[in-house]
Amino acid sequence: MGVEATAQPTGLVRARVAGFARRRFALWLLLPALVLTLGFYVLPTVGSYWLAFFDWDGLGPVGGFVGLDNFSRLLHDDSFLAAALHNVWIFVVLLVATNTVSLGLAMLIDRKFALRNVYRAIIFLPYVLSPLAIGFIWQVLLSPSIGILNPALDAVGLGGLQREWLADPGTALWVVIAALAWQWNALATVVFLAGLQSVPGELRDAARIDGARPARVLRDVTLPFLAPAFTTVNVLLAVFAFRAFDLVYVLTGPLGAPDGETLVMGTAVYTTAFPTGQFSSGASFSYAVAQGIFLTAVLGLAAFALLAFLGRREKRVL
Amino acid sequence: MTDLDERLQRLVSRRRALQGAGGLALAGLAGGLLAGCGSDSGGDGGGSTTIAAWHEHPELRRPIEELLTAFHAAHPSISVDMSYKPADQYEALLQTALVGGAAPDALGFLGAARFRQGLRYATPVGAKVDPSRLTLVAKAATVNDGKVWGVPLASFTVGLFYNRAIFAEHGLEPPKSWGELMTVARTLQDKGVTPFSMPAQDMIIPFFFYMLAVTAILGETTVEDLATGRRKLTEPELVRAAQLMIDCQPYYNKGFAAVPYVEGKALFAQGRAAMIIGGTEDYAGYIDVNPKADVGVIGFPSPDGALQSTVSGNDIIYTINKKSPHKQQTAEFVAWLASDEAQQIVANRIGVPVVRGVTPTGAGDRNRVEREFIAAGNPAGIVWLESDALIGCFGVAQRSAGIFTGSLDAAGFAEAMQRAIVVSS
Repeated sequence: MGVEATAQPTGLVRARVAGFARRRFALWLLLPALVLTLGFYVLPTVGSYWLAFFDWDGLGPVGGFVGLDNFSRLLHDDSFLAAALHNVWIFVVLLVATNTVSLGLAMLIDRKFALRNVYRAIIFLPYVLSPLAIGFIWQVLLSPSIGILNPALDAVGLGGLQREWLADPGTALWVVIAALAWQWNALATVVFLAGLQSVPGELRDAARIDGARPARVLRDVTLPFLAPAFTTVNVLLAVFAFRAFDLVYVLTGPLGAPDGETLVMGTAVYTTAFPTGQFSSGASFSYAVAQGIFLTAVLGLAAFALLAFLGRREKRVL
Repeated sequence: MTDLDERLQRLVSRRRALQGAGGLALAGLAGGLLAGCGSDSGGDGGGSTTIAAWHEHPELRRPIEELLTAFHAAHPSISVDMSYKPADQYEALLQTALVGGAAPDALGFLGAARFRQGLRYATPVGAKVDPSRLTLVAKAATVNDGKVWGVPLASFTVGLFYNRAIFAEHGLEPPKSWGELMTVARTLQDKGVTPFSMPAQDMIIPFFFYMLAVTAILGETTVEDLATGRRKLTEPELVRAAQLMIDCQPYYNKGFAAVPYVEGKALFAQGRAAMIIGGTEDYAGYIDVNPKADVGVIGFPSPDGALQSTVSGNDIIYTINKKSPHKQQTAEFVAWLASDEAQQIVANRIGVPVVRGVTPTGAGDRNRVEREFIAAGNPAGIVWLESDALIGCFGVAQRSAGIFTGSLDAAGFAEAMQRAIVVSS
């Protein structure tokens, strides 16, 4: 008894020491990445936040302290608020599309059929492409000068549907959303597919043997197992939708043509910091920083709210 | 490379420039000891001196070296060591060098607004430049309190380009009034030709269209009239300029509101549109897209046809760094830039000359177009971007694309533009 009593704590201590050594080794391995991330990403980003409280055009000496003026200006900036609303629209539409179309596609390509891997590659292709390339593809498709969609519609007798897709205030934002959805669908489908492949086949088989119809199997067996995938996809979607920039920039320019109808927060921040064209003046870097902080806050809020909601749901269903 | 690529590169470059400002300052301090102050075997007193200068267009190296060779021939004791900086990094580099005390002897500022901001680093050129010989745009930018503070290397001019082949094919003459402009546009459209290329995604061309239309009404004193508040863009006579942009809308290229500047230029160069607002520097771009492009240029017509206006702005403006140990030699160089000899090289090889009476002498379409630009300006107004009072109009124009979607009428557009003007007392 006495021997056991002394041996047990010694074993525990050894195990703890070994665990600590392992953790310390892991920390050492992480250190280079941590230093680089902190030094080149986190610190410069957070370190520039103070500029939002000063007046600075981006070059030359920093001007006077303006307190919360830049944030107050932001709340009265119709153009920026409209841009934020466009981001919300993008998020909402993509949220619906992701959880229906992408999920449906994932289920389709989860089945066994000929050339399945080719279809999977085609669906994943937009995610591999640079957003700039995607923007140019959609431009080539829709451009009023060189676009192929309108002539194609005409050729198949649907000439009445021809539009100036990117110039029409009624369609421009939808085109941007469609392009973003095309790009986003690739990742969402693959994540859902990975989730589907983690559903134990025997559970589905058992449900079927017990007489459950396909819809019931989907609702009570497949979807609960997909909960982690839903969380991942939807949180990443929030990030994707609110930080949209490059694809939108290529498609409709830094001003969100036509007439700001496709302006998003990303392009608004960029245009404030770097006004368009060599003739521009009046850059306000400090206001752009304030816009960037707002964008980060909105993005963070959306992502964490989704994470909390979907995380709770995950625990409930699994 | 497209404009878009350039802008994205500018974003990256500028960010890098800003983030690396500290490093650049240190590098500038070190480099300044080697290059910024030039080399000297005789100081201000005589001997051979090399002065340093920067330029923002490496692609113009050849004609500029030709210019510098001519200067050295005229001033054998002075050489100019020209360093070519990428255009997208030029301002950040110069700013850093100025703050770090490592700027070159001859300071080059991009445009009048930057030049005025940089005057605290400069010293006047002296009496070697006769201000009365400078063109309106050069004089307005460089003469302050009766002193000439600098000399632009060249200027640029913006007018109305037209496709000569299309006009000839349809028996049309370039329009001289707004009525003729509309008639020509209607005729071209009836014949299946797109009359105007009006890329409005970034609102650069529409802004120049509006500026030219206003200048054609107000004449050479447009900038002064608006800056002092003598005239207002909201006056009914001037609201017509904004209305003209709306009235011409049926004659613009398809989907123009979403077409970027570079694509609009390509449309015109390819002969897919008959007219476009463009500048002297755009001509090379048209030829780049279509070497056979047969274009001419006219001034933008006034409503009644009495005037045809162009607007001009300055390219890089050189002045003397007041910290330079070679102020006298640098003054020689800057003053020489305003000589007929220098400006003739500028006219033939670089851009629009900044002294009166100099025109391109060479043959070829480039010089013909440049001569047309010089002849077209009656009035030859000043680009609003050269004026501290009017420079904000561009940003407002970019946010006023509603004039093409119907959310803003002509009066509303004019009102927005007027609000952007900082009227001096």
